[in-house]
Formats: sequence, structure tokens, C-alpha cells
Amino acid sequence: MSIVLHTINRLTFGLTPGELKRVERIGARGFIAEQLQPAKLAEPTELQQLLRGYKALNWDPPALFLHFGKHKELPPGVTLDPGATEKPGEIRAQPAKAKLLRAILSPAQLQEVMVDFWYNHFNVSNAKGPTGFWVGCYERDAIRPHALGKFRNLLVATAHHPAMLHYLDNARNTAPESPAGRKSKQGLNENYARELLELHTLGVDGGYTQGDVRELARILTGWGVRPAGPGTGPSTFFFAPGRHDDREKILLGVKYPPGGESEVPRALTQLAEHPATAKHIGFKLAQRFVADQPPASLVDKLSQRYRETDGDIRQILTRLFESPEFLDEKYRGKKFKTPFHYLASYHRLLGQIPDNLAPALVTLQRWGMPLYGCATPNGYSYDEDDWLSPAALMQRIQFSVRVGQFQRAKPRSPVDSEATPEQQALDRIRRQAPPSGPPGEQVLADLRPLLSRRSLTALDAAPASFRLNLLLASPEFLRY
Amino acid sequence: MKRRQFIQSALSASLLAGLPVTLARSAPAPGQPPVRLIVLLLRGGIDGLNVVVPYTEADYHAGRPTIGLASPADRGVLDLDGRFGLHPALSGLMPLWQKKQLAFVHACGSPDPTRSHFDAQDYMESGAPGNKSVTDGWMNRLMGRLPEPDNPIKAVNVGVTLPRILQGARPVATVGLTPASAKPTTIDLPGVLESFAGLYAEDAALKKAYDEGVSSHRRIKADLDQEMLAADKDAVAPAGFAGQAHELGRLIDTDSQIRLAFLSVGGWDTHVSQGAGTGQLANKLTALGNGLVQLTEGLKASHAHTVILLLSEFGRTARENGNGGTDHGHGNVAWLLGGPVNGGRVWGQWPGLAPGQLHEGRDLAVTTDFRTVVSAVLQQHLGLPPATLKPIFPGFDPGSSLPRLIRPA
Repeated sequence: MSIVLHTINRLTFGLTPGELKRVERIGARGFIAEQLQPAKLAEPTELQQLLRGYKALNWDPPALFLHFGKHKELPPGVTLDPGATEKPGEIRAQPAKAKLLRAILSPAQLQEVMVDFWYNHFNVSNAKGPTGFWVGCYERDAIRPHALGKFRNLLVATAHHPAMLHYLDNARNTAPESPAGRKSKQGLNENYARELLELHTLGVDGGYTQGDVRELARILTGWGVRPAGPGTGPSTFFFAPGRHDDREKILLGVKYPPGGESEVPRALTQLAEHPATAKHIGFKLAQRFVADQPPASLVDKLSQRYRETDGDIRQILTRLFESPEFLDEKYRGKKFKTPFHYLASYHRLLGQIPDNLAPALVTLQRWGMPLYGCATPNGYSYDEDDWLSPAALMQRIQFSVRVGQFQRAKPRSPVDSEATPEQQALDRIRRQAPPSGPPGEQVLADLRPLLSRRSLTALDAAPASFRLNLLLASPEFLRY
Repeated sequence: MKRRQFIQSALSASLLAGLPVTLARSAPAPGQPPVRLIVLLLRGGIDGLNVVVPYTEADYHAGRPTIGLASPADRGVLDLDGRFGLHPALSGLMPLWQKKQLAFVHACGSPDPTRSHFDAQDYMESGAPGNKSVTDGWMNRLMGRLPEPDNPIKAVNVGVTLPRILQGARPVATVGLTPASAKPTTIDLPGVLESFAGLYAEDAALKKAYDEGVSSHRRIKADLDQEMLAADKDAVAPAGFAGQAHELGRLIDTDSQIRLAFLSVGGWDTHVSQGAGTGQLANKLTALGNGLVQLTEGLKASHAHTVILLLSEFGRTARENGNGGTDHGHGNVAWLLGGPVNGGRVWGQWPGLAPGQLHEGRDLAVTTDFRTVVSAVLQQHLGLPPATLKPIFPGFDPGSSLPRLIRPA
């Protein structure tokens, strides 16, 4: 496999028609440089327009909760926006629709890959109470702005977001001896403290103890959310001194004299600067971009780069993409796509968005990967062992036979002015797609270099009308 | 080391050493009903102290002022043995207890002290606590120790992705068990599925998945067709977990080649407001209990030869936390259901809940290794000779006197 194809494979959600030729022109290095500066890669106007209509991506937690959550009464003086006619289920679905469309259509592919990566690293699930309304603004505020920035900023931003504080229960974490603790008989909750150490920073083998979990939970007491107004639900970040543990703590050997609200930022800095965090992050990046069992030499390089640059993700990725390990032929085309990656790459290759978004999201649910719906805080894995099963392969084969001779012909409809704004925007996006000839002929011609000799033999032995189906389930397309 | 490499090297090592591959004593005689094992993993760490409640312990009630369950006399738990009581949401299981087809092993768990869900589940599934180099699952290794040759549905996994417990060299059928599972689709048209075969010849992992996927897809489709023909026309399958559990029972009863099955139920990580006799945990237990009853009913006559084992990666703190919930703990309760179970009894050595008796001062201690429970089931129910257990649980010696969890035949 060529360096160009390998680079496209690893930095994007899959090849689009014409992309191979374009990247051959600018070169793999040019492509990497372009992808590392996503600000210059604007989303298509029609997509921007569509996303602006999704309240789950544009409103703030209090407004979302107020309009779509369950609450008894409105705060005095607050009136609801009469335009908020969406059902709660629709608000919950919007982030997933947006994620799928961006993965298919955005030219800033590496940014979308990294947003997906960091979201999984700092996972919150839409299955938990009001977090279901907040995953869109959580990603917008806590993940997306820092996807190629400083790791510390991701850590700080996620630690301040009501979605995370609610999801991992820190909103309830109260020192039992504090005034609020005594009054309400509330106490410590270790959930967030443990996952901060185990998943977000040091990693499970990062050398902390149960005692450190406890100390960090004490540091985190009072670090929570409060109602923006009566009836609006717990929706804005708030430090409650009356719930905080005011005694000294010792986290990983470092003393914390009583410091109130300043303790958490200090602890987050200590964790972000810990060498185990550098190693943990280096390992996960190497795993996503190089191999499920990444070479130790690469993990070392990346963790060193992390320490040199204060966890600057763009710099770490730059080092990764120029490393001999990334370029090593033996790793090319060996990673197995997650269900989401497969679905996005399927639509990218065909140059189409799904006919309907809701069934596409149901497909991902059936494939075990509902978007924003990973219930556990470790997020979705990128490892073959977690996704390649006999049932998963059967499902992908089944999906691959939906195009071509098995596809019902659908005439391209004009934009219907009676349709919902979402439907109109989707129709406009569809009309931007290049007109396709007989399904996939051009695609097939373009992709011959992607296929192994073995797959080409299988394809050429099949009837012409069936070749695209085979390609979509070929090892070269199931992998990246 | 990658899983496949590990298996290959382990395999070639044993071939080189000329070690005999020990199999179970004998296959069941023709005509004899096959024995089955179903494992259900409760992911998230279920609060075992509120499932099988030590209601006579003062420390239990003292540590759980809001979530603790009252004694049977105060209409709290359902009495099991004068010492332990069952959560009232599981009342549907009491008939099984009375028939002595339900047993528990309390203070059971993993010797590894991790409180990470993910590590603890991995260890319980690999069967090698604390040893991250064992990456295949103990149920997959077990498949190779059963007397029958491998077949595409010897082990059935309910779900889409293959959990670690079943990962490994041997084929496993994965089945969604939703109402759609039985409907024919495009790939069931003649010749369609076959035309993909040529693609995977050079990719070992995909080839394995394809071969196993095709055989189990066809076999299960045929079983479900047969089962649907036999099903009562009026019977409405229950929704959700209960529906899946019922379907699984039916499938096992229909196909005598299924020996092992695995499924999991999540959502037990009750850090906040778990409730007592009613509430969050009670609702989940109701659904679980219903599912187990449905599974039992779906199994029909096969229930007499099936053991259902429920495990969870760890228990929860003995005392409730500050939010009416419980945090990650250590010891837990294991459940055994089924015709062969030596039930009506809470097994295990009870370590107590007094401060000095708790693990690290906060959790129920582990007095029975979960591998002891599994080993007892494998020996006494599936008929595995003790020597075959070694490769299933590497580095573990269950000792010579296993609890008699299965009634002598």
C-alpha cells in the first residue's frame, strides 16, 4: 500500500472519490500539514447551515434542560422559546446525526478523527439523565476546541462541564464533615476521582493507590453543578465551598494545604504533568494511528514529545506521523475499522450521505456502537479484538450488499419547500454530490490500486454488477 | 502478545513437549441429554450485599441507614436460611429456591484487588486475575476441553461483539436474538454469501470470522425457523432482556449441540440513589429476575440439565456512600440456578461486616475465589477431570475439596 493511501486511511474516515489523486498531487506530507491546520478547512456551507439548526449543538446546558428536560416548574420570569418544538428524542439524536454527517462530509477529517478520539477518552453517555441533552454542547465546548491543542485544556474543560460532573457523579461528591455534608448526610463519591486517574490521566497501571483515589475524591468535594435558576436543573459549573473538605490532602505524595476551589486546578495540572499520563496518552495515540499493540519505541517517542511540549497534541501527532513506525509497511492496512468508521467510510467511498439519518443511527446501535451511547466511562475502543467477530463480519457483508443491483433506484428529488428545514438541508447536500454513473463504476476503477491481488482476483471472478459489493466487504476496506 | 500468537505458541509448545491433550472423561452416551452451562456476567459491579442480604448482621444495618433492607420480620428481605435474605424484587426466583434449584456463594470474587471495572471484568473473563498476558477467555479454553468436537454452535454468545470470556482460538456463534434474527435477508439468497469467501483467504482473522459466521448464521437461522414452527402461535415474546433470555432458552432447548452460552447485563454501577426495597437497583433486579424466569421457561426440559451461573466483577462498599449509593468494592455474591444445582443453600464462608473483618476496612472480603465456583461447576456438572482445569485457569489450584455445588447425579 502506498504512503499516500496509508496516510489518507489513518488520518480520515476513509477515501472519497478523487481524494487519492488530490493527495498524490500535494503529497502525504502536504496532506498531513493541511490536516493539522483544520481552521483552514471549512465545512461545506450546506452542512454548516444544517448544523446551525440543531439546538443540541448550539444551545447551552440550562436552556437545553429547561426546554427538553423534566422539571416541575419554570423559574420566575423565564419564558420558553416557542421555536423549541423538537421532541426530547430528536434533541438526543441531533449530536449523532451531526457526528455522522461531519465524518462523511467535513474536509477537516483529522479534526473529526481527533474529536472522536478525545470524546471516547473523556466519554460521557447520553443514556444518563440530563447528560443525554448535553453531549452535543459537551463536545462543542470541552472537546472540539482542544482536539489538537493542549491535553491539559481538555482535562480542565471536561472537568468543568456539567455533562461530565453529572455523568461521573461528582456533582454529588460532598465532604461528610462539611456543613452541607452534616446537614444533608451526604458524603464522598469516588466515581469521578477514580476514572480521572484510571482513564483520563495516569492509566490503570500508572502507579496510584486506592488512597490516592480517596485523596483526589476529597480534593474534588464541592466541585459540582448547580441549578442556573429554580427548576432549570443542575446545569452550570459551580464550586460549593460548603461541601468541600477543608483539611489537608496528599495526592501522589504531594501535599495540598486547604485551598478551596484552587485545589482542583492544581490537581489537574499535577496529573497532566505526570509522566504516567504522558505515557498513557502516547500509548493510546499510537494505538489509534499505528497498531493495536503499538511498538514501545513509538510510545516512548510520543510520551517524550508530550513532556517536551507540555502535552501539545498537534506536536505529538506531528512526531507520530513522521515516525518510522507510522511509515512502517508492516502496519499499513492492518487496523480494523470500528462500526462508526466503517459506516462513515462506506458513505465517503460512495460519495453519498445516508438516505435517512435515523435508520443509519439504528444500524450503528445494532452493530454495538450507538453514537454517544457508550454507557461506560472508558469510551469505545479502537481495537480489532473488540470489534471483529463472526457476527460483525456477517453484518458488514449484509450491509455491503445494499448497493448496486440490490438497491432500489431512487430518483433525485428537487428540494421540497414543504419539507422540514432539516430535510431541505439534507436534500441540498445530496444535490452537491457528484452525479454517479452506473453505481460505483468510477469508484471501482479508482480503487483498483487499493486492493490486494487476492481481492482483485475475487472481484474479477464475480459478475460486474457484484464487484462493488465485494469491494465494500473486502479486507482492504474493512481495514485501514 | 497478540491473542492468536499466544494461542499458537501455547499450542505448538504443548505439541513439541508431546503433552497429551486431556479431554473430559467421556462424551454423554447417545440418547442422554447434553449438559449445558450458561454464564451471565453482571457488568458494572452489582451490589451483592443488597441481593443476598446478611440481615442478621448489625453492621449491615449500621452501614446502610438509607439503602439497607429490613429483616423478613419487618417485611424487608425474603428469608432464605434464617441468616440471609433475598431482595424482594427477586421474589420471582423464590419458587426455584424452594425447589432447591437456586444457590448462592457469598463473599465470592477475585483475589485481585483492582477496583477498576475494566480490569476486574477482564480478569474474570480471562480467568487469570492479575495476569494481563492471558488475553483469551476461559470459556473459549473450556470449549477445547469438552468431549465433543468443535462445531459452529458449541458456544453461543448473545450480542454483536465477542466478549473476552469467549475470545480465543475456537469458533463461537454470536447471535442477536432479536425478533429480526430469524428473518431472511439478501445474504440468504442462493450464492450471495459464498461469493465473499474468496476475499478472506489471506487474512487469517477475517477468514476465521467468515467461516464461523457463515456456519453459525445458517445453523441458527435453521434452529430459529424450527423453533418458530414449534412455538405456540399465541405466545408473545417478552421485550428486552427477558425476551432475549427466553429466546436463548428456546434455542438451547432446540439444538442439542449447544453446550455453552454467554450473555451479559450491564447497568449495576449504582454510585447514586440506588434505593432499598424499591428504586433504581430494585427495578433492575426485577428485570433481571424476570429474565432468569424467562430463561428457565424457555429451556423447558433442558432446564434439568443446565446450570446458569451469574458473576459480577466485584461487589460494592459495605457501607453506603454519601449519595445513597455504593462505590466499587471487593467481595460479591455468585448465583447458581438450574436443575442440577445443589440449591436452597447459601454457600461460602461468611467473613462478617465488622470494621476489622472488612477488606481494606471498607469492602466485603473474598473468601471464595470465583474460579473455585467455576471449577466446581466444570467438574461436577460438565464432568471435567481436575487435571483439565489447569489450562482453563492457568496458575490456579482449586484444591481437592471443592464445595458440592452440583447435586450428585
